[in-house]
Amino acid sequence: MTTPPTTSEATERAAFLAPLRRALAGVAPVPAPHPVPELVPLGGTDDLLAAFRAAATAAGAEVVLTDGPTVPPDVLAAWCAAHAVHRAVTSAAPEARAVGAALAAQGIAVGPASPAAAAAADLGVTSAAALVASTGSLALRSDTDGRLASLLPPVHLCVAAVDRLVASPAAILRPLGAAGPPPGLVLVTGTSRTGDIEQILTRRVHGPGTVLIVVTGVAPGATATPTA
Amino acid sequence: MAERNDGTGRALPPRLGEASLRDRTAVAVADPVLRARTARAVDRFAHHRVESLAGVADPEALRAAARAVKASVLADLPGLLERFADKVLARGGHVHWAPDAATARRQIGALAAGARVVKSKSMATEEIGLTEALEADGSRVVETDLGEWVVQLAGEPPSHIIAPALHHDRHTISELFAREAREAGITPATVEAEPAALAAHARARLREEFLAAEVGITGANFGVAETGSIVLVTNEGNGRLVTSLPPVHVVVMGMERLVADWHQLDLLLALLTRSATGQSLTSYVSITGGPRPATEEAGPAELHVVILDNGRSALLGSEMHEMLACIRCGACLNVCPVFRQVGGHAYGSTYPGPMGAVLTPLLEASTPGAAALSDASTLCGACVDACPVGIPLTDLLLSLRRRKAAGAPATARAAWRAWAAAWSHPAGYRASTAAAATGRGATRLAGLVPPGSRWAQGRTLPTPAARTFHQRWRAGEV
Repeated sequence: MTTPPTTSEATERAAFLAPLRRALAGVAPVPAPHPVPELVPLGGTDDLLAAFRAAATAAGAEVVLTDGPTVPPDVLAAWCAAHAVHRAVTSAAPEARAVGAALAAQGIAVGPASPAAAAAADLGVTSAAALVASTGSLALRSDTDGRLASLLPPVHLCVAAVDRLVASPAAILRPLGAAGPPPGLVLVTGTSRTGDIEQILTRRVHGPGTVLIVVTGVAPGATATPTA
Repeated sequence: MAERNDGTGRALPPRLGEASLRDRTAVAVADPVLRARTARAVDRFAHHRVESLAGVADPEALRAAARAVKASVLADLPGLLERFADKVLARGGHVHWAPDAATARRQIGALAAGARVVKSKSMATEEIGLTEALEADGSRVVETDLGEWVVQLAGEPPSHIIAPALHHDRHTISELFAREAREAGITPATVEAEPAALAAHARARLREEFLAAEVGITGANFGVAETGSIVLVTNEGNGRLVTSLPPVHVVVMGMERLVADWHQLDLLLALLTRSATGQSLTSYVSITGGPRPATEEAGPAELHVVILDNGRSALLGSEMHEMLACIRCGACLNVCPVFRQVGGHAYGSTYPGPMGAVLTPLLEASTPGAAALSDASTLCGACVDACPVGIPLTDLLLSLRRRKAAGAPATARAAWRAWAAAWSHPAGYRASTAAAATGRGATRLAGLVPPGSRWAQGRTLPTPAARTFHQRWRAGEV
């Protein structure tokens, strides 16, 4: 399923590649290593939930576990108060819209994440296609969670079920070859940060400075520490 | 030496062609503040890298595999580039092939001339002088990585490929931000010299630029041939904004930045972030796969990928071939004793440190003084040990020195040849050592003429023995 290149692209391409082919004429093919080894963190990630929570917290996110299907109402109310949330946007994911409905019930203005609305919002709500245990990352697909709700507001709230946990980035990245990634796919690990000013860790540059993660459907007693 | 000013009173560092390596180094060595900042930054980076690799199983095996991956990619580069380009086209993107910097500037100029442009940090765009060219075409170009914005405001090149503004501190950054605010008519035009306040100021100022931008320009940490995808690794979130808000996204990708598939990407990404900053992943790993479908709220309507040669194909299949495996992590800069002492600006070129000392003489061969950069190394090998893809940097530096020597003046080459010939024969060797013994005390390093006199600064010559070893051996004394 390849679009035929335009004439000028094909001409440019042939001219560009000719010197490369000449340069490599005497170079024997080098077989790619197979399989390509995976990076394995020492200490392991047998308990995916515990590993995820530890890694996400270390990256600056706040993680709450719940046995319910969505953000516990008291947690949501406390966060809205703490971060002065008056306006929120949500992605199109059903989990995010459910949180949006709860926010609206608390009197917060909620809408979809258009560029203007997301730029003006205090809070953006999404779900995640996967929660990555070894790095504490969220995998966000543009076709389900958009791009702006997790990017423009100062606070990002992500709600995802415990069955979205995977061990490592490899579990997200390596299968992408089959269907190809969506137009936008991002692994978000903790908050926006920079070290450009005297190598001092400074959070909240262009992306959210606060990342709140709620893992839903966690069986009571699934981890050593109590759930919310 | 050209004297330029960054607007806060600080002289700008001379570039390649404006001053010799020796003179550029002298500027850096005379600046204890710069040296202290550089040393502190690279030590921190190097420490984080070691710590993060200590947390994974068998990092040496991963490094060997990464080296093998890049070797296989380079050997099949034309085929993989075709595959990558076909996939980009199939996803509705456009592909432009740029054999040199001028072509790349022209291609991007056709897309962005006169437009409001936001950029995410990209060394490839630094390499081709893109910002200056677009500004000359009437574009407003704003760097959005905090450190890049700082050096843009100062009128400087980056001093480190990962941390472009590491030679600045909160006070100079505050001055630069205040000047920009004054020029933009913002009141009050002062910014508190505290990291959080400076970051908040940059966020607010640059957010306006993101929302108004018509074109976003990025580099590419990796291109994945299997699906025609671009992978960008950032921490601030500006990369996501540049690739999500403007209606046109232009990617400038060095042609060697490919991997064949997502398995290879997974390995190299894991090594890149750990080698660069010691993070298991950066805050954002953005994968861009094509223009926005009508069903999505954001993303560029147009995606253009400019594939850049600009001297790289001359390395393919040559003794410099392995340099094309570089993934631009900056680990070699952070362990280099030369970089640690002089910082990035002393190299005078886009790419500093050991990787720059190899790349600059090759990619900027026509710039006067480029070849001298192969001397900016002690050959200690720390860079080779740190490189996540096992590039034999010291071997490459030695090859470059050999090339440079071949172009030395005939008299110098004749003198070295005569010395080599003399010492290749026992009689010649004995005659020279006997002469040295006879001339004992007469040899004065201070009497040398340049460049010998420079080498002699701070050195003393050991006094030769009164009688040579050979003479004592024959006399039965030893």
